[in-house]
Amino acid sequence: MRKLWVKAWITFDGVFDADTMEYWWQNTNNPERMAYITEQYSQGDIYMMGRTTYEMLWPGWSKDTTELGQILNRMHKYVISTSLTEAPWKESTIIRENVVEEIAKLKQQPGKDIIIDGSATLVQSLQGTGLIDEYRFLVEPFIMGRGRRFFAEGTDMTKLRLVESKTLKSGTLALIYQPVAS
Amino acid sequence: MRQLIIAEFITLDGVIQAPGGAEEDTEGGFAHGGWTHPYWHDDIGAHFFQAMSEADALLLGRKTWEGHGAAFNSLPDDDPFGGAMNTVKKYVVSTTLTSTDAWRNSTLISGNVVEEVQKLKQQDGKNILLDGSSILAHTLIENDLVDEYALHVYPLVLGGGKRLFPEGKRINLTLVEAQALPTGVVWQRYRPGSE
Repeated sequence: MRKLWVKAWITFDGVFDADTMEYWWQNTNNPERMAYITEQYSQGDIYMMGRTTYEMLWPGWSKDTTELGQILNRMHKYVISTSLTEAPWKESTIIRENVVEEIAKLKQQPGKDIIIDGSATLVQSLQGTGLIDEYRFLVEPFIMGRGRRFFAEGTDMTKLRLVESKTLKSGTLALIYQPVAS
Repeated sequence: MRQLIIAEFITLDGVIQAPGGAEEDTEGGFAHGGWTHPYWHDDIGAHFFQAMSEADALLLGRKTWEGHGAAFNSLPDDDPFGGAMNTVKKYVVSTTLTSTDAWRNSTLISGNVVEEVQKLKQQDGKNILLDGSSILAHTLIENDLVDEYALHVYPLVLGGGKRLFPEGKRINLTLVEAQALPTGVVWQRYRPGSE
């Protein structure tokens, strides 16, 4: 069975807003982190997201020819949306309904990992379904103090198991957690 | 200048309320008290003793001070944990307390917190340590008085409760140390300011 993991780049206080990323993400780019990210993405062949993330990513990445761009363009993209009518990024499929069943079917197929990106709404809807096998965080050394949090207020109590941790030179913590069945 | 260190047990979603026991702090209907218990590891104790050996003062809000006092004040001086906690100088910040008899070696700060803490930092001495004390922590953070965050980050999400960092304050941090413990707790020390 394929593994499905959620990738989340967050500040220490859990902010992962694209709006503020220029402050805490763009300015901290460095080769070691880029190498880590590229290696992580190369483990997957399905790239899954909600509509907002999809619309934000595809214009730039569909034209990107860097190593990471090539990996993302090769992956099959699944965008979960009831409103999107076209998926312009090459190799894209729209999932409009029966989301949990469709994802479960994809997990049953042979293949590499399924990677979910950004997509707070999608991730929140999958919590408790048993479909998420891991959360892979990159925690940046910032407190933003405002903005959308990855773990929203009101989330049910969730126990996790730390499976891997790595400190990158920039002060980024790469942390991989698995949900613990309650 | 003395360093002010905020030491906390904190969840992945930034909650610091009632780590030690079910009845520790149920304010706001908080029902998860004692959430640190399944994850104990001796290194957590070692970090605590290390922090205490580098400090000569505790700075606490009233509720945390009262809770610690109730736990420690009656322990004998030769108790390894209690001895350290009872003999160290405590500063409790409160506008409602009138006596510090509940926990020996305590001094009351009843007003002008920012000035009083600045004065303490200017004295000769070792580190000043704060734990719990969410309201006081917010005041200190908002006034840029904190020199280090020494955090044990637990592998769980609680979804609500008192949080360490106040809304609206942006802080650049430098990671000083990170160590994953076998029980899933990640020890993370940060200093405000960029490299």
